[in-house]
Amino acid sequence: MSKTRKGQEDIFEIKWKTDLPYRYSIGKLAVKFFEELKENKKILGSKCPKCEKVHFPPRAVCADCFIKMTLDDMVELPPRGTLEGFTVVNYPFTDPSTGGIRPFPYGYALFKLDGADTYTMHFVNETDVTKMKIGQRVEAVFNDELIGDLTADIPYFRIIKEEE
Amino acid sequence: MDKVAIVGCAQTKYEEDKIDLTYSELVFDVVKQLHNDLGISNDDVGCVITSSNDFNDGRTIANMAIQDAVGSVRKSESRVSGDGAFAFVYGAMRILSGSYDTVLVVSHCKCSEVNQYLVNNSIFDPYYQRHLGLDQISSAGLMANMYMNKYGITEEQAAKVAVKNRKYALSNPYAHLQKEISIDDVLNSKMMAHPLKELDLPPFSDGAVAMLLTNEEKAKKLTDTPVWLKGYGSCTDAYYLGHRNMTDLIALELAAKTAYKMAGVTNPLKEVDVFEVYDAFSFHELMIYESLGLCDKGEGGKFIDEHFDSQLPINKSGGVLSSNPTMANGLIRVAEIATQLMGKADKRQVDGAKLGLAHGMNGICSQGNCVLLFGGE
Repeated sequence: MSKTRKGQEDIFEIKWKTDLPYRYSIGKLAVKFFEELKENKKILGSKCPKCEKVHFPPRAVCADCFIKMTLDDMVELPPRGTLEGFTVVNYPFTDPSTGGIRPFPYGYALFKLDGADTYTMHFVNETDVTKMKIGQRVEAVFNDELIGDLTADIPYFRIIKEEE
Repeated sequence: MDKVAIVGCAQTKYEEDKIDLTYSELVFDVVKQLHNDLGISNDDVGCVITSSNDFNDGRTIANMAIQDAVGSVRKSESRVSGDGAFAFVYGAMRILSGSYDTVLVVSHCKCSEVNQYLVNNSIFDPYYQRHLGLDQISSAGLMANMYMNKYGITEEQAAKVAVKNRKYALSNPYAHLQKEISIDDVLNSKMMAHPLKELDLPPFSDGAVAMLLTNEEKAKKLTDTPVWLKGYGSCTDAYYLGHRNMTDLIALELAAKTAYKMAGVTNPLKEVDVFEVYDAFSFHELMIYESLGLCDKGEGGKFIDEHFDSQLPINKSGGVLSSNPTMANGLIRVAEIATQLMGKADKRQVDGAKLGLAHGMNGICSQGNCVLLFGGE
Protein backbone atom coordinates (compact mmCIF):
# COMPACT_ATOMS: atom_id res chain seq x y z
CA MET A 1 0.00 0.00 0.00
CA SER A 2 1.36 3.42 -0.84
CA LYS A 3 0.20 6.99 -0.69
CA THR A 4 -0.02 9.26 -3.72
CA ARG A 5 -1.55 12.69 -3.99
CA LYS A 6 -4.22 14.06 -6.25
CA GLY A 7 -4.98 17.71 -5.57
CA GLN A 8 -4.99 18.22 -1.81
CA GLU A 9 -6.18 14.74 -0.95
CA ASP A 10 -4.10 11.79 0.13
CA ILE A 11 -5.06 8.67 -1.77
CA PHE A 12 -4.14 5.14 -0.81
CA GLU A 13 -3.14 2.78 -3.57
CA ILE A 14 -3.19 -0.96 -3.10
CA LYS A 15 -1.23 -2.82 -5.74
CA TRP A 16 -1.32 -6.51 -6.43
CA LYS A 17 -0.38 -8.80 -9.24
CA THR A 18 -2.25 -11.96 -10.18
CA ASP A 19 -1.17 -14.63 -12.61
CA LEU A 20 -4.13 -16.04 -14.51
CA PRO A 21 -2.67 -18.80 -16.67
CA TYR A 22 -4.74 -20.35 -19.44
CA ARG A 23 -4.39 -23.71 -21.14
CA TYR A 24 -5.89 -23.02 -24.55
CA SER A 25 -6.76 -25.67 -27.08
CA ILE A 26 -5.20 -24.38 -30.26
CA GLY A 27 -6.89 -27.05 -32.37
CA LYS A 28 -5.55 -29.77 -34.67
CA LEU A 29 -4.76 -27.40 -37.53
CA ALA A 30 -2.58 -25.15 -35.41
CA VAL A 31 -0.80 -28.17 -33.90
CA LYS A 32 0.01 -29.35 -37.44
CA PHE A 33 1.10 -25.84 -38.37
CA PHE A 34 3.54 -25.58 -35.48
CA GLU A 35 4.81 -29.17 -35.96
CA GLU A 36 5.57 -28.58 -39.64
CA LEU A 37 7.22 -25.26 -38.83
CA LYS A 38 9.47 -26.89 -36.24
CA GLU A 39 10.25 -30.20 -37.96
CA ASN A 40 10.31 -29.26 -41.65
CA LYS A 41 10.59 -25.46 -41.76
CA LYS A 42 7.31 -25.39 -43.66
CA ILE A 43 4.51 -22.81 -43.58
CA LEU A 44 1.00 -24.26 -43.88
CA GLY A 45 -2.34 -22.62 -44.57
CA SER A 46 -5.78 -24.15 -44.89
CA LYS A 47 -7.68 -24.35 -48.17
CA CYS A 48 -11.47 -24.42 -48.18
CA PRO A 49 -12.54 -27.59 -50.07
CA LYS A 50 -15.55 -25.73 -51.46
CA CYS A 51 -14.45 -22.20 -52.50
CA GLU A 52 -10.72 -23.07 -52.55
CA LYS A 53 -9.87 -19.89 -50.67
CA VAL A 54 -6.50 -20.33 -48.90
CA HIS A 55 -6.47 -19.02 -45.32
CA PHE A 56 -3.29 -17.99 -43.59
CA PRO A 57 -2.93 -18.35 -40.63
CA PRO A 58 -4.80 -21.65 -41.10
CA ARG A 59 -8.41 -21.39 -39.99
CA ALA A 60 -10.71 -24.26 -39.07
CA VAL A 61 -13.87 -22.68 -40.51
CA CYS A 62 -14.38 -20.99 -43.86
CA ALA A 63 -16.65 -18.06 -43.05
CA ASP A 64 -17.83 -17.69 -46.65
CA CYS A 65 -18.90 -21.33 -47.11
CA PHE A 66 -19.58 -22.03 -43.42
CA ILE A 67 -17.85 -25.39 -43.52
CA LYS A 68 -15.07 -26.91 -41.49
CA MET A 69 -11.58 -27.49 -42.82
CA THR A 70 -9.55 -30.50 -41.65
CA LEU A 71 -5.90 -31.57 -41.65
CA ASP A 72 -6.47 -32.86 -45.21
CA ASP A 73 -7.17 -29.30 -46.30
CA MET A 74 -3.80 -27.95 -45.17
CA VAL A 75 -1.55 -26.71 -47.96
CA GLU A 76 2.06 -25.58 -47.99
CA LEU A 77 2.74 -21.92 -48.74
CA PRO A 78 6.06 -20.43 -49.82
CA PRO A 79 7.84 -18.22 -47.28
CA ARG A 80 7.44 -15.23 -49.58
CA GLY A 81 4.70 -12.74 -50.21
CA THR A 82 3.75 -9.24 -51.26
CA LEU A 83 3.47 -6.22 -48.97
CA GLU A 84 -0.06 -4.80 -48.71
CA GLY A 85 0.37 -2.44 -45.75
CA PHE A 86 2.90 -1.37 -43.13
CA THR A 87 3.51 0.75 -40.09
CA VAL A 88 6.41 1.55 -37.80
CA VAL A 89 5.61 1.41 -34.10
CA ASN A 90 7.31 4.20 -32.21
CA TYR A 91 6.03 3.89 -28.64
CA PRO A 92 7.02 1.69 -25.72
CA PHE A 93 5.08 -1.51 -25.56
CA THR A 94 4.91 -4.15 -22.87
CA ASP A 95 5.88 -7.34 -24.65
CA PRO A 96 3.10 -9.82 -23.91
CA SER A 97 5.59 -12.72 -24.14
CA THR A 98 8.07 -11.40 -21.59
CA GLY A 99 6.31 -8.69 -19.58
CA GLY A 100 9.29 -6.41 -20.31
CA ILE A 101 9.37 -3.27 -22.43
CA ARG A 102 10.09 -4.11 -26.07
CA PRO A 103 12.72 -2.00 -27.83
CA PHE A 104 11.25 0.39 -30.39
CA PRO A 105 10.88 1.51 -33.16
CA TYR A 106 9.95 -1.67 -35.02
CA GLY A 107 8.15 -2.34 -38.26
CA TYR A 108 4.93 -4.25 -38.88
CA ALA A 109 4.00 -5.56 -42.28
CA LEU A 110 0.65 -6.77 -43.51
CA PHE A 111 1.16 -9.02 -46.52
CA LYS A 112 -0.23 -11.88 -48.56
CA LEU A 113 1.89 -15.00 -48.83
CA ASP A 114 2.03 -16.23 -52.43
CA GLY A 115 -0.97 -18.49 -52.97
CA ALA A 116 -2.88 -17.22 -49.89
CA ASP A 117 -6.12 -15.29 -50.15
CA THR A 118 -5.94 -13.59 -46.76
CA TYR A 119 -3.44 -11.14 -45.35
CA THR A 120 -1.24 -11.85 -42.38
CA MET A 121 0.86 -9.64 -40.12
CA HIS A 122 4.42 -9.97 -38.91
CA PHE A 123 7.45 -7.91 -37.96
CA VAL A 124 9.47 -6.51 -40.85
CA ASN A 125 13.16 -5.52 -40.79
CA GLU A 126 12.59 -1.92 -41.77
CA THR A 127 11.85 1.09 -39.61
CA ASP A 128 12.12 3.77 -42.28
CA VAL A 129 8.67 4.15 -43.83
CA THR A 130 10.11 5.95 -46.84
CA LYS A 131 11.86 2.69 -47.76
CA MET A 132 8.66 0.66 -47.73
CA LYS A 133 6.00 0.61 -50.37
CA ILE A 134 2.97 -1.51 -51.11
CA GLY A 135 3.77 -4.19 -53.66
CA GLN A 136 7.28 -4.89 -52.36
CA ARG A 137 8.25 -8.52 -51.98
CA VAL A 138 8.87 -9.91 -48.49
CA GLU A 139 10.45 -13.15 -47.32
CA ALA A 140 10.43 -15.02 -44.01
CA VAL A 141 13.71 -15.09 -42.10
CA PHE A 142 13.98 -18.33 -40.11
CA ASN A 143 15.89 -18.81 -36.91
CA ASP A 144 18.64 -21.47 -36.99
CA GLU A 145 16.99 -23.42 -34.22
CA LEU A 146 13.27 -24.10 -34.68
CA ILE A 147 11.07 -24.67 -31.62
CA GLY A 148 7.52 -24.44 -33.02
CA ASP A 149 6.79 -20.83 -32.04
CA LEU A 150 5.83 -18.36 -34.73
CA THR A 151 7.80 -15.30 -33.61
CA ALA A 152 10.75 -17.32 -32.29
CA ASP A 153 11.12 -19.43 -35.44
CA ILE A 154 10.39 -16.58 -37.85
CA PRO A 155 11.59 -13.49 -35.97
CA TYR A 156 10.71 -11.23 -38.89
CA PHE A 157 10.10 -10.93 -42.64
CA ARG A 158 12.68 -9.10 -44.69
CA ILE A 159 11.99 -6.82 -47.60
CA ILE A 160 13.54 -8.29 -50.75
CA LYS A 161 15.47 -5.50 -52.48
CA GLU A 162 14.63 -4.99 -56.15
CA GLU A 163 18.11 -5.85 -57.41
CA GLU A 164 17.88 -9.30 -55.79
CA MET B 1 -42.60 -0.70 -35.01
CA ASP B 2 -43.74 0.35 -31.54
CA LYS B 3 -41.96 3.36 -30.25
CA VAL B 4 -38.96 3.57 -27.93
CA ALA B 5 -38.11 6.94 -26.41
CA ILE B 6 -35.05 8.33 -24.69
CA VAL B 7 -36.39 10.70 -22.05
CA GLY B 8 -33.22 11.73 -20.25
CA CYS B 9 -29.44 11.33 -20.31
CA ALA B 10 -26.67 12.04 -17.86
CA GLN B 11 -22.92 12.06 -18.40
CA THR B 12 -19.92 12.54 -16.16
CA LYS B 13 -17.12 14.87 -17.07
CA TYR B 14 -14.56 12.69 -18.86
CA GLU B 15 -11.11 12.85 -17.29
CA GLU B 16 -7.75 11.16 -17.41
CA ASP B 17 -7.82 9.69 -13.94
CA LYS B 18 -10.81 9.64 -11.62
CA ILE B 19 -8.75 8.01 -8.90
CA ASP B 20 -11.02 9.48 -6.23
CA LEU B 21 -14.01 7.40 -7.38
CA THR B 22 -14.52 3.64 -7.52
CA TYR B 23 -16.23 2.60 -10.72
CA SER B 24 -19.31 1.84 -8.69
CA GLU B 25 -19.34 5.41 -7.31
CA LEU B 26 -18.74 6.79 -10.79
CA VAL B 27 -21.82 4.92 -12.03
CA PHE B 28 -23.89 5.91 -9.00
CA ASP B 29 -23.24 9.63 -9.58
CA VAL B 30 -24.49 9.51 -13.14
CA VAL B 31 -27.55 7.36 -12.32
CA LYS B 32 -28.50 9.59 -9.38
CA GLN B 33 -28.19 12.67 -11.57
CA LEU B 34 -30.52 11.07 -14.13
CA HIS B 35 -33.08 10.31 -11.39
CA ASN B 36 -32.89 13.92 -10.17
CA ASP B 37 -33.18 15.38 -13.67
CA LEU B 38 -36.30 13.30 -14.39
CA GLY B 39 -37.80 13.60 -10.92
CA ILE B 40 -37.99 9.84 -10.53
CA SER B 41 -36.79 7.36 -7.92
CA ASN B 42 -35.27 3.93 -8.33
CA ASP B 43 -38.76 2.42 -7.94
CA ASP B 44 -39.67 3.98 -11.31
CA VAL B 45 -36.98 1.99 -13.11
CA GLY B 46 -38.26 -1.30 -14.53
CA CYS B 47 -35.01 -3.00 -15.41
CA VAL B 48 -31.38 -2.20 -16.09
CA ILE B 49 -28.98 -2.89 -18.96
CA THR B 50 -25.30 -2.12 -18.46
CA SER B 51 -22.24 -2.17 -20.71
CA SER B 52 -18.70 -2.72 -19.50
CA ASN B 53 -15.65 -4.89 -20.08
CA ASP B 54 -14.25 -7.41 -17.65
CA PHE B 55 -10.61 -6.93 -18.70
CA ASN B 56 -10.95 -3.21 -18.02
CA ASP B 57 -12.68 -3.66 -14.69
CA GLY B 58 -10.37 -6.47 -13.60
CA ARG B 59 -13.23 -8.70 -12.50
CA THR B 60 -15.24 -11.35 -14.26
CA ILE B 61 -18.91 -10.54 -14.74
CA ALA B 62 -17.88 -7.05 -13.64
CA ASN B 63 -21.46 -5.78 -13.84
CA MET B 64 -22.18 -7.80 -10.69
CA ALA B 65 -20.07 -5.28 -8.77
CA ILE B 66 -22.24 -2.27 -9.67
CA GLN B 67 -25.71 -3.61 -8.89
CA ASP B 68 -26.06 -1.23 -5.94
CA ALA B 69 -24.98 1.76 -8.04
CA VAL B 70 -27.42 1.08 -10.88
CA GLY B 71 -30.23 0.29 -8.45
CA SER B 72 -30.82 -3.26 -9.63
CA VAL B 73 -30.47 -5.26 -6.42
CA ARG B 74 -33.44 -7.67 -6.55
CA LYS B 75 -34.30 -6.35 -10.01
CA SER B 76 -33.75 -7.52 -13.59
CA GLU B 77 -30.30 -6.56 -14.87
CA SER B 78 -28.31 -7.78 -17.82
CA ARG B 79 -25.08 -6.63 -19.41
CA VAL B 80 -23.54 -6.22 -22.81
CA SER B 81 -19.83 -6.98 -22.64
CA GLY B 82 -19.04 -4.54 -25.38
CA ASP B 83 -19.75 -1.07 -26.66
CA GLY B 84 -22.56 0.88 -25.00
CA ALA B 85 -24.48 1.39 -28.26
CA PHE B 86 -25.28 -2.33 -28.21
CA ALA B 87 -26.54 -1.92 -24.62
CA PHE B 88 -28.91 0.72 -25.95
CA VAL B 89 -30.22 -1.82 -28.48
CA TYR B 90 -30.71 -4.42 -25.74
CA GLY B 91 -32.58 -1.83 -23.64
CA ALA B 92 -34.77 -0.83 -26.59
CA MET B 93 -35.70 -4.49 -27.11
CA ARG B 94 -36.82 -4.73 -23.48
CA ILE B 95 -39.21 -1.83 -24.09
CA LEU B 96 -40.40 -3.32 -27.40
CA SER B 97 -41.05 -6.68 -25.69
CA GLY B 98 -43.71 -4.92 -23.66
CA SER B 99 -42.31 -6.45 -20.46
CA TYR B 100 -40.98 -3.17 -19.07
CA ASP B 101 -42.18 0.43 -19.23
CA THR B 102 -38.80 1.88 -18.30
CA VAL B 103 -35.22 0.69 -18.82
CA LEU B 104 -32.09 2.29 -17.42
CA VAL B 105 -29.08 1.90 -19.74
CA VAL B 106 -25.65 2.60 -18.27
CA SER B 107 -22.10 2.27 -19.54
CA HIS B 108 -18.88 3.00 -17.73
CA CYS B 109 -15.14 2.67 -18.18
CA LYS B 110 -12.05 3.65 -16.25
CA CYS B 111 -9.16 3.39 -18.66
CA SER B 112 -6.85 4.67 -15.92
CA GLU B 113 -7.10 1.46 -13.91
CA VAL B 114 -5.26 -0.88 -16.27
CA ASN B 115 -2.68 -0.79 -19.07
CA GLN B 116 -4.90 -0.20 -22.11
CA TYR B 117 -2.26 -1.49 -24.55
CA LEU B 118 -2.29 -4.90 -22.87
CA VAL B 119 -6.10 -4.98 -22.71
CA ASN B 120 -6.27 -4.19 -26.41
CA ASN B 121 -3.51 -6.66 -27.23
CA SER B 122 -5.60 -9.37 -25.53
CA ILE B 123 -8.20 -8.98 -28.32
CA PHE B 124 -5.81 -10.87 -30.61
CA ASP B 125 -5.57 -14.65 -30.66
CA PRO B 126 -2.92 -15.94 -28.25
CA TYR B 127 -0.95 -18.24 -30.58
CA TYR B 128 -0.65 -16.61 -34.01
CA GLN B 129 -0.95 -12.88 -33.30
CA ARG B 130 -0.94 -11.69 -29.70
CA HIS B 131 2.82 -11.99 -29.17
CA LEU B 132 3.37 -9.68 -32.16
CA GLY B 133 2.21 -7.03 -29.72
CA LEU B 134 -0.52 -5.64 -31.96
CA ASP B 135 -2.90 -3.27 -30.22
CA GLN B 136 -5.45 -0.62 -31.13
CA ILE B 137 -2.78 1.90 -32.22
CA SER B 138 -0.51 -0.30 -34.31
CA SER B 139 -3.44 -2.00 -36.06
CA ALA B 140 -4.97 1.45 -36.72
CA GLY B 141 -1.59 2.46 -38.18
CA LEU B 142 -1.77 -0.46 -40.62
CA MET B 143 -5.34 0.43 -41.56
CA ALA B 144 -4.54 4.13 -42.05
CA ASN B 145 -1.48 3.24 -44.15
CA MET B 146 -3.53 1.01 -46.46
CA TYR B 147 -6.40 3.51 -46.72
CA MET B 148 -3.97 6.37 -47.56
CA ASN B 149 -2.25 4.32 -50.20
CA LYS B 150 -5.41 3.10 -51.86
CA TYR B 151 -7.13 6.46 -52.13
CA GLY B 152 -4.30 9.02 -51.96
CA ILE B 153 -5.50 10.44 -48.63
CA THR B 154 -3.01 12.81 -46.96
CA GLU B 155 -1.92 13.14 -43.35
CA GLU B 156 -3.06 16.76 -43.50
CA GLN B 157 -6.61 15.74 -44.41
CA ALA B 158 -6.69 13.35 -41.46
CA ALA B 159 -5.26 16.07 -39.20
CA LYS B 160 -8.25 18.23 -40.06
CA VAL B 161 -10.53 15.69 -38.35
CA ALA B 162 -8.55 15.99 -35.14
CA VAL B 163 -8.52 19.80 -35.37
CA LYS B 164 -12.29 19.90 -35.97
CA ASN B 165 -13.17 17.52 -33.15
CA ARG B 166 -10.82 19.12 -30.64
CA LYS B 167 -12.28 22.52 -31.48
CA TYR B 168 -15.82 21.22 -30.99
CA ALA B 169 -14.78 19.75 -27.63
CA LEU B 170 -14.26 23.30 -26.33
CA SER B 171 -18.07 23.69 -26.40
CA ASN B 172 -18.73 20.40 -24.60
CA PRO B 173 -18.40 20.70 -20.80
CA TYR B 174 -18.06 16.89 -20.51
CA ALA B 175 -15.14 16.61 -22.95
CA HIS B 176 -11.80 15.39 -21.61
CA LEU B 177 -9.34 17.25 -23.86
CA GLN B 178 -10.26 20.91 -24.09
CA LYS B 179 -7.42 22.58 -25.89
CA GLU B 180 -7.61 23.83 -29.44
CA ILE B 181 -4.97 22.41 -31.79
CA SER B 182 -3.78 23.31 -35.29
CA ILE B 183 -3.07 21.15 -38.32
CA ASP B 184 0.66 21.75 -37.74
CA ASP B 185 0.29 20.65 -34.11
CA VAL B 186 -1.12 17.32 -35.32
CA LEU B 187 1.48 16.87 -38.06
CA ASN B 188 4.32 17.72 -35.66
CA SER B 189 3.08 15.65 -32.73
CA LYS B 190 5.00 12.56 -31.71
CA MET B 191 4.92 9.74 -34.26
CA MET B 192 3.18 6.70 -32.74
CA ALA B 193 2.51 4.19 -35.53
CA HIS B 194 3.05 5.69 -38.95
CA PRO B 195 1.06 7.55 -40.28
CA LEU B 196 -0.59 8.12 -36.90
CA LYS B 197 0.79 10.79 -34.61
CA GLU B 198 -0.17 11.36 -31.00
CA LEU B 199 -2.85 13.91 -31.94
CA ASP B 200 -4.40 11.60 -34.56
CA LEU B 201 -5.30 9.35 -31.63
CA PRO B 202 -7.70 9.66 -28.71
CA PRO B 203 -6.69 10.03 -25.06
CA PHE B 204 -7.64 7.39 -22.50
CA SER B 205 -10.47 8.60 -20.30
CA ASP B 206 -12.56 7.68 -17.28
CA GLY B 207 -16.29 8.31 -17.25
CA ALA B 208 -19.85 7.01 -17.33
CA VAL B 209 -23.11 7.70 -19.13
CA ALA B 210 -26.71 6.78 -18.27
CA MET B 211 -30.06 7.18 -19.95
CA LEU B 212 -33.68 6.22 -19.41
CA LEU B 213 -35.69 4.53 -22.16
CA THR B 214 -39.44 4.21 -22.11
CA ASN B 215 -42.51 3.57 -24.26
CA GLU B 216 -44.77 6.09 -25.98
CA GLU B 217 -47.35 6.25 -23.23
CA LYS B 218 -44.90 6.85 -20.39
CA ALA B 219 -42.64 9.19 -22.38
CA LYS B 220 -45.27 11.92 -22.40
CA LYS B 221 -45.48 11.82 -18.60
CA LEU B 222 -41.73 12.09 -18.14
CA THR B 223 -40.69 14.79 -20.63
CA ASP B 224 -41.81 17.31 -23.23
CA THR B 225 -38.82 16.44 -25.39
CA PRO B 226 -38.71 12.69 -25.99
CA VAL B 227 -36.29 11.38 -28.60
CA TRP B 228 -37.53 8.44 -30.67
CA LEU B 229 -35.62 5.49 -32.08
CA LYS B 230 -36.18 5.58 -35.86
CA GLY B 231 -33.75 3.08 -37.28
CA TYR B 232 -31.16 0.49 -36.32
CA GLY B 233 -28.64 -1.65 -38.13
CA SER B 234 -25.62 -3.59 -36.95
CA CYS B 235 -23.01 -5.60 -38.78
CA THR B 236 -19.83 -7.40 -37.78
CA ASP B 237 -16.80 -8.11 -39.96
CA ALA B 238 -14.28 -10.99 -39.75
CA TYR B 239 -12.19 -11.36 -36.58
CA TYR B 240 -8.78 -11.51 -38.25
CA LEU B 241 -7.66 -8.18 -39.72
CA GLY B 242 -6.14 -10.21 -42.56
CA HIS B 243 -9.57 -11.53 -43.50
CA ARG B 244 -11.06 -8.06 -43.96
CA ASN B 245 -10.94 -5.37 -46.56
CA MET B 246 -8.83 -2.94 -44.52
CA THR B 247 -9.41 0.08 -46.77
CA ASP B 248 -13.21 0.29 -46.58
CA LEU B 249 -15.43 -0.19 -43.53
CA ILE B 250 -17.72 -2.69 -45.22
CA ALA B 251 -19.48 -3.78 -42.02
CA LEU B 252 -20.29 -0.18 -41.10
CA GLU B 253 -21.61 0.42 -44.60
CA LEU B 254 -23.99 -2.56 -44.28
CA ALA B 255 -25.10 -1.49 -40.79
CA ALA B 256 -25.83 2.03 -42.04
CA LYS B 257 -27.81 0.75 -45.03
CA THR B 258 -30.05 -1.30 -42.73
CA ALA B 259 -30.61 1.63 -40.38
CA TYR B 260 -31.30 4.08 -43.22
CA LYS B 261 -33.82 1.69 -44.74
CA MET B 262 -35.69 1.32 -41.45
CA ALA B 263 -35.80 5.10 -40.96
CA GLY B 264 -36.62 5.86 -44.62
CA VAL B 265 -33.42 7.83 -45.17
CA THR B 266 -32.23 7.94 -48.79
CA ASN B 267 -29.80 10.88 -48.74
CA PRO B 268 -28.11 10.90 -45.32
CA LEU B 269 -26.03 14.04 -45.87
CA LYS B 270 -29.15 16.01 -46.68
CA GLU B 271 -31.66 14.35 -44.36
CA VAL B 272 -29.67 13.67 -41.18
CA ASP B 273 -29.03 16.89 -39.23
CA VAL B 274 -26.45 15.71 -36.72
CA PHE B 275 -24.00 12.80 -36.50
CA GLU B 276 -22.02 11.32 -33.62
CA VAL B 277 -19.55 8.69 -34.81
CA TYR B 278 -16.95 6.50 -33.12
CA ASP B 279 -13.79 8.20 -34.44
CA ALA B 280 -11.17 5.76 -33.10
CA PHE B 281 -8.44 7.69 -34.96
CA SER B 282 -8.40 10.65 -37.34
CA PHE B 283 -8.24 8.65 -40.59
CA HIS B 284 -11.02 6.43 -39.26
CA GLU B 285 -13.51 9.34 -39.28
CA LEU B 286 -12.72 9.93 -42.97
CA MET B 287 -13.45 6.25 -43.63
CA ILE B 288 -16.69 6.58 -41.66
CA TYR B 289 -17.88 9.46 -43.89
CA GLU B 290 -17.57 7.10 -46.84
CA SER B 291 -19.25 4.13 -45.16
CA LEU B 292 -22.16 6.25 -43.94
CA GLY B 293 -22.71 7.39 -47.51
CA LEU B 294 -21.88 11.06 -46.88
CA CYS B 295 -19.45 10.90 -49.79
CA ASP B 296 -18.22 8.36 -52.32
CA LYS B 297 -15.59 5.69 -51.60
CA GLY B 298 -12.13 7.22 -51.40
CA GLU B 299 -13.54 10.75 -51.09
CA GLY B 300 -13.29 11.07 -47.28
CA GLY B 301 -10.27 13.37 -47.60
CA LYS B 302 -11.95 15.55 -50.16
CA PHE B 303 -15.07 15.67 -47.98
CA ILE B 304 -13.17 17.11 -44.98
CA ASP B 305 -11.36 19.58 -47.28
CA GLU B 306 -14.70 20.86 -48.57
CA HIS B 307 -16.37 21.07 -45.16
CA PHE B 308 -13.43 21.98 -42.90
CA ASP B 309 -14.32 25.64 -42.64
CA SER B 310 -18.05 25.01 -42.22
CA GLN B 311 -19.79 23.89 -39.05
CA LEU B 312 -19.84 20.23 -40.09
CA PRO B 313 -22.43 18.62 -37.76
CA ILE B 314 -20.31 15.52 -37.14
CA ASN B 315 -19.03 14.90 -33.61
CA LYS B 316 -20.07 18.26 -32.17
CA SER B 317 -19.25 16.69 -28.79
CA GLY B 318 -15.59 16.49 -29.77
CA GLY B 319 -15.94 12.78 -30.48
CA VAL B 320 -13.76 9.96 -29.25
CA LEU B 321 -10.65 11.95 -30.23
CA SER B 322 -11.51 14.28 -27.32
CA SER B 323 -12.96 11.81 -24.76
CA ASN B 324 -12.37 8.08 -24.77
CA PRO B 325 -13.82 5.98 -21.93
CA THR B 326 -13.68 3.10 -24.42
CA MET B 327 -16.66 0.90 -23.56
CA ALA B 328 -18.95 3.91 -23.02
CA ASN B 329 -18.16 5.60 -26.35
CA GLY B 330 -21.16 4.24 -28.26
CA LEU B 331 -23.66 5.12 -25.53
CA ILE B 332 -22.10 8.60 -25.27
CA ARG B 333 -22.76 9.02 -29.02
CA VAL B 334 -26.41 8.07 -28.37
CA ALA B 335 -26.64 10.48 -25.40
CA GLU B 336 -25.14 13.33 -27.43
CA ILE B 337 -27.59 12.77 -30.30
CA ALA B 338 -30.49 12.61 -27.83
CA THR B 339 -29.30 15.85 -26.19
CA GLN B 340 -29.08 17.52 -29.60
CA LEU B 341 -32.59 16.38 -30.58
CA MET B 342 -33.96 17.57 -27.23
CA GLY B 343 -32.46 20.97 -28.08
CA LYS B 344 -30.44 20.88 -24.86
CA ALA B 345 -26.91 20.82 -26.26
CA ASP B 346 -26.20 24.46 -25.30
CA LYS B 347 -23.07 25.78 -27.00
CA ARG B 348 -22.68 22.68 -29.18
CA GLN B 349 -26.35 22.68 -30.31
CA VAL B 350 -27.05 22.18 -34.01
CA ASP B 351 -29.99 24.53 -34.59
CA GLY B 352 -33.22 22.82 -35.54
CA ALA B 353 -31.77 19.28 -35.43
CA LYS B 354 -34.63 16.84 -36.04
CA LEU B 355 -32.91 13.64 -37.17
CA GLY B 356 -29.64 12.33 -35.75
CA LEU B 357 -27.30 9.38 -36.22
CA ALA B 358 -25.23 7.65 -33.53
CA HIS B 359 -22.53 5.08 -34.32
CA GLY B 360 -21.02 2.61 -31.86
CA MET B 361 -18.22 0.14 -32.43
CA ASN B 362 -16.71 -3.03 -30.98
CA GLY B 363 -13.30 -4.54 -31.51
CA ILE B 364 -10.22 -3.51 -33.43
CA CYS B 365 -10.48 -1.42 -36.61
CA SER B 366 -14.30 -1.23 -36.76
CA GLN B 367 -15.04 -4.94 -36.55
CA GLY B 368 -18.52 -4.63 -34.98
CA ASN B 369 -20.67 -1.64 -35.89
CA CYS B 370 -23.99 -0.33 -34.61
CA VAL B 371 -25.83 2.49 -36.37
CA LEU B 372 -28.85 4.13 -34.72
CA LEU B 373 -31.11 6.85 -36.05
CA PHE B 374 -33.17 9.06 -33.79
CA GLY B 375 -35.87 11.66 -34.33
CA GLY B 376 -36.89 14.54 -32.09
CA GLU B 377 -40.33 16.02 -31.56
